Amino acid sequence: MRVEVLERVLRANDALAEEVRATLHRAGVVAITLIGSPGSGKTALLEQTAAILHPRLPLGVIEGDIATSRDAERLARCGLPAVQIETRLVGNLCHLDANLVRAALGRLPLEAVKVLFIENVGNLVCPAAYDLGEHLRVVVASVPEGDDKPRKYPATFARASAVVLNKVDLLPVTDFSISVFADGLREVSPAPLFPVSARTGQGLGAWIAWVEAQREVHGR
Amino acid sequence: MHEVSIAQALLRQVDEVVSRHRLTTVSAVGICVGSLSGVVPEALAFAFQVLRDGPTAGAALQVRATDGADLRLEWIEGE
Repeated sequence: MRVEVLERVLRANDALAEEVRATLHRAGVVAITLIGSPGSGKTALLEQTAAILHPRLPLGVIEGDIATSRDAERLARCGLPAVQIETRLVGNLCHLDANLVRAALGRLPLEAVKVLFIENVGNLVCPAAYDLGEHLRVVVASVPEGDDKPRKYPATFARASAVVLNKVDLLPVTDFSISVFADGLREVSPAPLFPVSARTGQGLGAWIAWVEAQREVHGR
Repeated sequence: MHEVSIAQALLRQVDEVVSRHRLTTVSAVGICVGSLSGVVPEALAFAFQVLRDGPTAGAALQVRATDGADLRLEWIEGE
């Protein structure tokens, strides 16, 4: 006999993601997931964002890595409540899932957080498939990775609410073309593009303004 | 690669349908995999083959490629 099912394979994850969303909603927290390759500068972007924004808009962070709590320690030094998820403890997962995020929420003082950043494991592929219960997804790409990335990883870029292109201070020493990158992004997504350098601070103003605007839109 | 976690989730889902319909063997499992789902069908088929067990031990995985981000269990063929 043939049984028709028609259910999403990750529906167990999706149900937990809805729980996370409900918890965040009750606490009035807007959650933004960062997805990007290892070394694209996700943590550096968060450090710079924290330095500018945290004094006027309380931030919190969940860090996902396979190993070490280095990133959570870096952000704790910026004064943020920071929780590290080490996926080596749960089968070396190459991505975060909603169950891990739900557990991490319990270790954060949510009442003192307005915008929660969830930094996914450095990986441009697998994190795209998992709803974490976040409101928005941001892809962090960087100049040394090359200007073809939106075309090569369309699934990840297509679901981004915004794209940060980091390390633009390196443009003069590479063949990277911002217009090639932007055209590739337009093919899969209307998401705004923020060229920044987390090292020099260039372009961070527009990114910060976007984060604050999202807080207004989603934080009610 | 996260296809092993996906295959585990898929097999759990198949097991639920198997007990709900009191099936003893599953001969085939039909899924659709969207081009934007982030899942590589070949890698998923390999993980499925390695992990299948119990009533699904002999099940074939039939993948229907679709556009979009869908990743769905569509049907199960069994007795």
